[in-house]
Amino acid sequence: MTRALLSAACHAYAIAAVAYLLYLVRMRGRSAAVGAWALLAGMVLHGAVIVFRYHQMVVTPVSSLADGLSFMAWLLVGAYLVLDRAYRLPALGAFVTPLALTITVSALLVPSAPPGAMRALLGMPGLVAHVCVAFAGMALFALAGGAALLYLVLERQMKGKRFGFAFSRLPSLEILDDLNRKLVVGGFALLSITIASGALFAKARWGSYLDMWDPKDALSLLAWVIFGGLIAARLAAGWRGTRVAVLTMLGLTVLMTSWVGLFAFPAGRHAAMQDGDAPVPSQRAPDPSAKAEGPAHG
Amino acid sequence: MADGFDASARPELFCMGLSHKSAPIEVREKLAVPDGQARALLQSFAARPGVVEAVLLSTCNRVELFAAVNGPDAAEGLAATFLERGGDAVRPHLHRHHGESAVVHLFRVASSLDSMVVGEPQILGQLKDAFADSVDAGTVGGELTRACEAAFAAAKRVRTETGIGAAAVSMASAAVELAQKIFGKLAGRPVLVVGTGSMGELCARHLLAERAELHVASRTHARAEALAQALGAGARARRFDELAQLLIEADVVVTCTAAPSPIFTTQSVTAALHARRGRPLFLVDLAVPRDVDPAVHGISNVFAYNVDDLEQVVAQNLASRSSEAARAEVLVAEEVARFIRAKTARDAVPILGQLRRHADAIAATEVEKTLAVLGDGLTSKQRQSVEAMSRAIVNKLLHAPTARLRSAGETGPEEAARVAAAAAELFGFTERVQAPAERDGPEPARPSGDPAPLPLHGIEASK
Repeated sequence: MTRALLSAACHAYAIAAVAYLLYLVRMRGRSAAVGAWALLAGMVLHGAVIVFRYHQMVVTPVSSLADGLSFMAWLLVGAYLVLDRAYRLPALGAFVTPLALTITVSALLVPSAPPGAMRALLGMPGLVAHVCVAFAGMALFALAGGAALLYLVLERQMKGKRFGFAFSRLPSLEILDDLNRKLVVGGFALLSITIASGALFAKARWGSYLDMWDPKDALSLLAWVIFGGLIAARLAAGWRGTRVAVLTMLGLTVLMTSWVGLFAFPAGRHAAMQDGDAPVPSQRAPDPSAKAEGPAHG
Repeated sequence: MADGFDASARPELFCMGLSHKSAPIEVREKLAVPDGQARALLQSFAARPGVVEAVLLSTCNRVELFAAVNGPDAAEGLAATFLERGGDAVRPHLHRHHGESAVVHLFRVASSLDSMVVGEPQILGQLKDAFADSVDAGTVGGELTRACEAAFAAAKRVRTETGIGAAAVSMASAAVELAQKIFGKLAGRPVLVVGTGSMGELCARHLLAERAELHVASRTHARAEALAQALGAGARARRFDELAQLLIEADVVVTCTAAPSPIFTTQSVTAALHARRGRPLFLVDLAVPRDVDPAVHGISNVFAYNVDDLEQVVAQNLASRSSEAARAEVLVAEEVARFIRAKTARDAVPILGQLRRHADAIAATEVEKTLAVLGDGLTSKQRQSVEAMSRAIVNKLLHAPTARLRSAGETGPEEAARVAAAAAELFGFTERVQAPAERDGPEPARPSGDPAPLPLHGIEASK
């Protein structure tokens, strides 16, 4: 049943994607409105799937790859709809909606059964929160990356003095830059919480806060440094526009590498937790706090 | 009531006048209507025999009369009024549109497709004002009201569904458009105008219209003061030696000086940018020779546009407008067709108008009686409620028969006649209302030069 609901949500997203792309081509306000409503409808259906899986089947939004992807798409859509309320950004919608659709469809295609070890670990509420916050941060950064991309496109046209397709369809540089600022600050706050909670969790489990040989630890930290530096440069040196947009894209790339790499080239302890054959955590971490948790869900 | 019915049964839409397309400015000024005289002129048009309704549209690009007329003499009468006012020189320039052609013209004018600068937004407002004035003067009735309202709706559709009005087509408006693309809304934005050249002033006025905060500086301070005064509230004169400071404050700088060499160089702009903490800066250089060193455009977050750049923006926008105009013409044709269809259905069943007037008259009489009885005990809001209620009852009662009569009109003349006869009997109209032309004698010949036969006379087929 959840599959049918999720597939219905996908259809709504597809309608929204077509409407937004149509808006890009013909610039009819009506297309943008249809897009927003279809997206909202899809998000409600999609939200129902997530709630239902959690309540009825005790599957958290991050228990499996499929659930994680679906949750990520849902967050993206939700964050975009909030932004669209405030700023009217159908051009960004044409960027976000196809992305959310792709992610949701891939969620339908990958197996949705949580791997054994992961199920065990994700039974711990603290860890679920850690992953959920990481997802939310990622969604904000993805939107910031979208705004940065649009900024670069528009800035290029303003500098080149050749106005093409994008010129009449994009909001002003100021709005795009402001959007980038707010999204990066929000994403950075969530990323900080993710890293801090992850470090505490790692300390409890493995005895060390950080493992620089874990690619996810290292890349997340690198992204944190990039975004932190970006915010500092904005505040202290008045950095704006192009430089900030390029840095945002860079930070997003690093962050995405750390996520995609986790699934594509598993290595380090984040990957070990997903691997069904991984040694049970209690064996790895002779930490007393872990004992209570490990067997309880094993 | 029957008399009123005779006169307004099937008036034909008609348009006469001249525009920038048919007449040069020397001829147009002969006809130009000063503000105070518009109503008198409108009434002299409306008083011509055969003229049932009239709306007079007078702008600097056109003087046109839209009318609903009966019979061929009306057109000559209207032409006579034009000639009385403008002299014989006007005659060869007067254009005429009858029936569907008049509808097409009205819709195209409203949609700004007939404008000198296609897509300019003022004309719709001017037409709405002209219509409102005619309503005040009591020279419009159902035909023109329906036509004008349909034209306004068509214009709105054109505006929202095509990009015809989206792009700026003058240098000053192009500068404003670019500034908005950088900063978004310009309200309250500090704008610096350097120099008092006329292009700079024009640009300043456009920025002022967006409620920007204007600062004017000139080497001769008295001139800056004079310009600031001319621009009115929202503009103030600043000292020329404050320029470096002003470059830090302002977000948009418009320059139009006669200086022989650039007054803004990469050094001065870079220095200002540092103090601006990276806030973007938009420089509009309207001067020849240039006031802004072209290398300034290369600085990050600085955008410097000169006259040639703006000209290029305008040329691009004009090109995109003409392709949008083609789409707009299609929309207008659709709207005209829809209007004509509705009118045909109405005209095919003249009893519709009679039914409406009959019901409205009853309602008006009853409301008057009721209000007279209740006297001053009612507040104006309560009076309005009573009136609204009577209108609502009339509308609801007439809805089904009206819809049935309309669909009969669309089906064909026999069906129209059959249903109209039934309605006449039920509502107690004794005369044969469905074929007024038979009582009017032979159908008057239409003026020569009339384009395609009008589809407004569906009833003719039944004769």
